[in-house]
Amino acid sequence: MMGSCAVSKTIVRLAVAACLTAVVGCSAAPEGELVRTYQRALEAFDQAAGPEDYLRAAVLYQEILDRGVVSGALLYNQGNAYMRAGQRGRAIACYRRALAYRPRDPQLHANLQLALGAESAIRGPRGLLDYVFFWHDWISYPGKVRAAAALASLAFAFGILALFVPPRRVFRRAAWGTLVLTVIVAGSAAYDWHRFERIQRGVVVRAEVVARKGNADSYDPAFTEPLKEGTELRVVERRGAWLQIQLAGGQTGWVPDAAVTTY
Amino acid sequence: MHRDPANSPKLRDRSCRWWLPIGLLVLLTPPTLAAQDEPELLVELSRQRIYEGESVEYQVILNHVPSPQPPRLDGFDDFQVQALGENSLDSRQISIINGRMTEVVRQGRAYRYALTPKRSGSLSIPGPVAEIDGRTYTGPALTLVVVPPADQDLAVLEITSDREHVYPMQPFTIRCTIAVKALPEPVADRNPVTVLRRLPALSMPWATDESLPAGVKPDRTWQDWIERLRSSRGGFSINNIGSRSVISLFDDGPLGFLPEPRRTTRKDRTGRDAAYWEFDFVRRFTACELGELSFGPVTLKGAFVAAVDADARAETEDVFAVAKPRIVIVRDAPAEGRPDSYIQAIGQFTLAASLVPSEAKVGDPLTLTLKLRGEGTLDAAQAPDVAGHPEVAERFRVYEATEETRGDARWFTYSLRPLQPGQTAFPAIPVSYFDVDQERYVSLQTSPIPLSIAEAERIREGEIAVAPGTRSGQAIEVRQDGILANIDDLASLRNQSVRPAGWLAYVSLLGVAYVGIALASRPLSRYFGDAELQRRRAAPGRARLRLRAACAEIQAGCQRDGAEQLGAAVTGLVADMAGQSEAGMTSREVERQLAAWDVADELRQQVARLLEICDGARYGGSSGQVQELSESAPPLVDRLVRALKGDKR
Repeated sequence: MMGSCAVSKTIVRLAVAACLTAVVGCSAAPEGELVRTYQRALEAFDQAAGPEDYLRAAVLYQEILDRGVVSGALLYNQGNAYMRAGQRGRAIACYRRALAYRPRDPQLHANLQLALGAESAIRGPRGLLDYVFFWHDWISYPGKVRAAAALASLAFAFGILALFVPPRRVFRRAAWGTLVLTVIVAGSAAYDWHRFERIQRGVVVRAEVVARKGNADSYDPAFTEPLKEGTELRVVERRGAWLQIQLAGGQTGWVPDAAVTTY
Repeated sequence: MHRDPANSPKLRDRSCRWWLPIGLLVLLTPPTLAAQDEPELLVELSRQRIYEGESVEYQVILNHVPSPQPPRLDGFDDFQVQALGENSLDSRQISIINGRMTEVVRQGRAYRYALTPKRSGSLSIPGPVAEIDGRTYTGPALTLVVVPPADQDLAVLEITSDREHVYPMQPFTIRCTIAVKALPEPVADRNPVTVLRRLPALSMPWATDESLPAGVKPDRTWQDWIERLRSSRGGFSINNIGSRSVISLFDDGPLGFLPEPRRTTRKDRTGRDAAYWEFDFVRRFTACELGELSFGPVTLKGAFVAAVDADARAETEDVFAVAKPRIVIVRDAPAEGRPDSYIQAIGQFTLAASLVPSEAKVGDPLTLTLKLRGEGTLDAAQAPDVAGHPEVAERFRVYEATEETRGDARWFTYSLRPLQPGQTAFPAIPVSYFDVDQERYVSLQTSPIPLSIAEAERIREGEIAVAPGTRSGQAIEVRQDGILANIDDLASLRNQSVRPAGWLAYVSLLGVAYVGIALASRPLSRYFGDAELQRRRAAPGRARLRLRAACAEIQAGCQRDGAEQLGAAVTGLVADMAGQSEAGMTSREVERQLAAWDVADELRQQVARLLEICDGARYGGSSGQVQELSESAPPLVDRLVRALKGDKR
């Protein structure tokens, strides 16, 4: 009996360690050069006197992003810099991307709402599923992935305990419970992966751009009015320097890719 | 050492160098003296006789004073006084002699000053005044003899400046000219300085940056300036720069500095024209603050050639020359002709303005930034009076400006709120400064900035957040405009990018591992789940342990207990193997069980006999038989275990 107790304790400890690793994450601390660039960008923002200075700060943030570092704070700050520089479209794109990593940040919501303007909402009308999966937007995309991995580790640990250590029935039920949770959270993470990484979205960055019915200026305008800066869209297809886009209402058209920032 | 009976109980003066005496005073004064703990005010002078232009170090020591305040130096009108710093004299000494501990605590402070006499003669140095615990202590007055320079014409010193009055940020030069009398014929063409065997010592306070007057900035560092005057042919030593200087790492003695000479004629001591060689040490400064700048005095000590005999041997004469300080007055920009838009900036500047955003609604905050860039008194520049501009005041509400100097520019940032809608331009803001080059006021203007102000949206009363009880008064409204603060926590820079493939692999690995472990664990599971099996597997080991203990008991003479344990070991072995309870199992039952297992008769009989002997010993049987058992039982149990395992039970 003593032996089985020790085994179960060891397994539980290993499972907890795996959970902690998964939840906290095992990413390395940022490099010194990145930190210096980040600090330079913050200083550039704080000392900026005009749009060009703010753009300089945004470029410094982009330098960090170009090195493969993705961080909600970084995107949020870059959005602020673009906003200050008067580039609302790029600011919206940054804030939207930051939402995936900081979904509950009230300041991010406030700034995004400011960038969108009073007429637009951060989220569209909520459906039944939105109420059922109300927690879906509470957890960040990386958080969900880590939570799913942590739950999988727990399910694994309970499963192992159920094989060897009494009371097996309790462990078996715990394993099934955590497995169900794992599937739910993993499903949510998979949905985030689909919407954040598979679907290409964009925001109009020019003051106005005429969407056309085809991928050339010779085509007729697709809509009765040009698209304004900050209009959010979904990229359907890319042909050369043109993007086929779809608006929130389902309308499609073609715009030059230089008029849109995609993410 | 003498006393001043009119004042403190202990007032002393000392006239020798202080480091040694102070050290001795602190370390060697007997405890009985220290035990008095009466405040002392000591004064010391490094030298009692100096040449005019030289400085002397003056030290005031407050002894036995726990928290001293710097003394007052009143009446030092004949001296320029420069504080050289202060140092603590606090000490604590504990000595244990014959088991008795004595502790001596001293507290005090020494204040050091450099005194430079303003005139020659026998000068009295007044006593310093110190306030200690509400009492006033006055130190003794000292006398300093200041020897005037001898009347000579071999080397003459002068300090001049190109300007007597300057404005802040206006450059000026200080020139120290050393006129050295030319050598007599036939060597009159030789430089009278380079022929000298020892370098004449020049003491020039402004030669090093550390001793520059406050509020002045040199155009280049002293090392840079003086390096250009280095000479390997001799020259003047300056402030003893040499072995202790960074520019002479490998030189021992003072370095020679020699400017390009200029040959002139000037009156000698007798009033006749004489040939001289003039050497100019010129340094350029910029005044930074208003006030009076004193440069000097400069002294020169050395042996100069006074005559040359028939054999062309030089006869030298010791010379000490002094040049009185040169005063340069830094004054403020003139009041006459000062424009209203003057912002206390002196120098040369440019002005730029920006206003963001360029489109707003009435009441929206705007940020106006004025940037004054250039060389001059940037930190003293005051924010231009934007609110006082009539056009601005009419159309904007202006809040107080913030000011900040960044690099070579001063930034003035104003918050504005437009009061009227319309397409308009933010008016030009005038700013004036005093140009030191032109010595007149210069007015600058920002360019008008295009601005579009729209009508404000009116909000209903209920939408305004008003504190209870203040609805009729001023209400606080939450501003919905403007972006919120950046995130500056460096920990937030941690990479949050997700690699789904990695996580998927991890979860898959867990699944595969689980399946593998589940398959591999079936035998284990069967083992851990079958208590009888575990008991059977553990039975031989347990029996051997019990047998060993029983034999030890028998060997120790406890035959009864040993026999009982021996029997229990064999009975336990059979019970464990059979999955039955050991308690109550009799020898007969053991034999029956062995028979049921088809154990060989001979072995079965030996086991039965062993158990009989054990039972007999329990009730007082032969001790000799028990003794034999301790030797025969182990091989018997081994055989029994082999027999039972062989049956694969």
